[in-house]
Amino acid sequence: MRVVLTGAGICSAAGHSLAGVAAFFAGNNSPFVPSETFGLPGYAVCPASSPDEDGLGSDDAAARLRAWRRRACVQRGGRFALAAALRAVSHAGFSPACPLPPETPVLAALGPMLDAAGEPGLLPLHPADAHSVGEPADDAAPGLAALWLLRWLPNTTCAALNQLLDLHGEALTVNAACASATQALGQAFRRIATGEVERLLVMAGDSRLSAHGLLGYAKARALCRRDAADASRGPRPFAPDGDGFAPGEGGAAFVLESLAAARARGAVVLAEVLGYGAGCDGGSLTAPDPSGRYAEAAVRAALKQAGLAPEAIDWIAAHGTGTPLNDPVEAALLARLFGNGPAVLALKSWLGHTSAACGALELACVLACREAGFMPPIRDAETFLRSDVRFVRTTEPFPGPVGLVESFGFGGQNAALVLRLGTPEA
Amino acid sequence: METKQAVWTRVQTIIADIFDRTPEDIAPETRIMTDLGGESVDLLEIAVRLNADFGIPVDEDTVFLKSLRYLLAECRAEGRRPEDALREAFPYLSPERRETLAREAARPQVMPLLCAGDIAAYVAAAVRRRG
Repeated sequence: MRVVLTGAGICSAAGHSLAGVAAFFAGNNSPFVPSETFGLPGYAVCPASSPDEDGLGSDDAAARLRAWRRRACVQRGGRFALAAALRAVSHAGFSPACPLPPETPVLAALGPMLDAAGEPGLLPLHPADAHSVGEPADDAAPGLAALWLLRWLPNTTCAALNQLLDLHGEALTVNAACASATQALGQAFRRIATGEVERLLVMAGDSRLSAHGLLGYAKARALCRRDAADASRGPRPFAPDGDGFAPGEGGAAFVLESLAAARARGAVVLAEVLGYGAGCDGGSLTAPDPSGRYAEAAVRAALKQAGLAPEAIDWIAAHGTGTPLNDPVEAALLARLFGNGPAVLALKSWLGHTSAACGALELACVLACREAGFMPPIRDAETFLRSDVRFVRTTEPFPGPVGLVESFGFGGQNAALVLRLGTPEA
Repeated sequence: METKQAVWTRVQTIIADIFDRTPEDIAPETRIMTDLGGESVDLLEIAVRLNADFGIPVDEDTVFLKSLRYLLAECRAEGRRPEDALREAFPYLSPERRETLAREAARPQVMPLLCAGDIAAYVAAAVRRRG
C-alpha cells in the first residue's frame, strides 16, 4: 500500500498552523529566551509561551482543550501533542459531522514528565514529612492531588486524545528518546504499508522546560550555556562553535492513510511516505557512535525501502542539535552519503530541541516551508563544520519534493524517514 | 468552630475547583454524578481535598453514599425499617433528606443521588466531632 499524509497540525513557538510557521521563519526573529523563568538560569530555551501560560494558541483546538475538564491531568508536552492532534484531524478534513472512524489507532511519541517542582504538593518530601502526617502512607504529602501520577504516566496523553475524539483503536505510546516521533511515524507507515490498518493518527509532544527537565541535561553537559544577554543567539547546529542544544517544546501530529483511502474520501494529500529505517547503536547510553555507521544504516534502509539512490534526495531535515557529539558525526554521515547535493536544514536553530517530538515538529515545518515555497537558513549561521555538505545559509527557494528526516537520540536511537512532498502522481 | 455556612462555602469551592466550575454553579442540591458529570476519579479527588483542607478522616462509603443501596437491599432482605438503617449509617443527614434518599433509592433505574449538600453535611459533622 502507498502511504500518504493527509493532515498536519502543529503547536509550537514557531506557530500554530503551517502558514503561521512559514511567517515565523520569514520574520527571522529569535524565539530563544533566557532559561531563568523556567527554573534554572544560564541557558537558552525556546518556549511555546511563558511558563504561566499554556502555549496552546488561540484557535478552536486550543479552546476545546481549555474547556476540557481533565486538561490538568496531561503534562505540558502532552497538551501540545493534543492541540496538534486536534488540528491535524481537522486539517485532514474530519469534523464532528464527519469524525475520524472510531477504530483509528493512535501512535503517540511523548517524553517523560520531569517537572517535579511543578507538581503541587510533591516537593519537598522527606521521611520527616511522611511521619508527621500519621500512619497510612496515602495520607502523606497532603498537598498532592489524588491523581497527580497521571501527568507522569506517558500514556495519559494518548488516553486523553482517545477520550476527546471518541476513538477506540489501539493506543500506543512510543518513547525512543529524541527519535520517538520519527519512529512513531515509521511504525505508522509500516502498519499502513502492509495493509494492517487503513489510517492512523500520529501525535508527538514534549516539553523539558522546567527546573528538573533543564537540570537533567544541564548535569549531562548537553545544553549550550548562554547568559541572559546572549540567550537570543540560541544553539549553533553544525557550527564549529556548537556548544550544546537549546531545549524547546511543542507538538505536532499527522493523519496517515493509504493512498487509496485518501482518494476514496477525496482528501488533499500533503506528502507520500516512501521509506523508513531505524536501528540502535547498541553502544553508549548517551553519546552517538562516533563512526555514525548505525545512523547511516538507518538512513540507507529508508532509502532502500523508498527505492531511491542518495542522489534522488532534494532536501534533508537534519537532526542537527548543536552538540559537539551529534553534529560532527551527522555532518560526516551527510558528506559520505549525499555530498554537496541536497539542501540541509537544521530546524533546531529555529525551534530548539523539542526532544521526543522533534522529528514530527520538523516534518511539519518542512511542509510549511514547502507550501510557502522557501527554505529558512540555519539561523545565525556563519561558518559550518564542513564545506562538503550543502547547509542552507540564506533563505532559498524550496528545492525538489523528495527528502529525508533524520532523528538520532540518547541510547543510540536512530531513525530516518524518506518522503515526497505534494500530491503523488498516479 | 466553623459554622455550617462556612463549611458549605469551603465544600462548594472544592467541588467547583474539581469540576472546573465557579462556586455559584454549585448548590446544595447539585447532583455530583448527574449534574456535574462526576466519575469515581472525581470522588477520589474530593475525598483527598476534604481530608487535606479540613483535616478530617473521610470514609468514602459514607460521604459519597456508596453504601446506600446496599443498606436498603439489606433492609428489604431482613425486613428492617430503612429509616433506622439510614439513621445509623448517615446520622449527619437531616431526617427529611434521609427520607428522600430512601424513597428515591427504592425506584427502579435510579440515578446516583449524591448531592453537594450531602458532602457538606458530612464534613460539618466531622468538624463538629473534632471540636
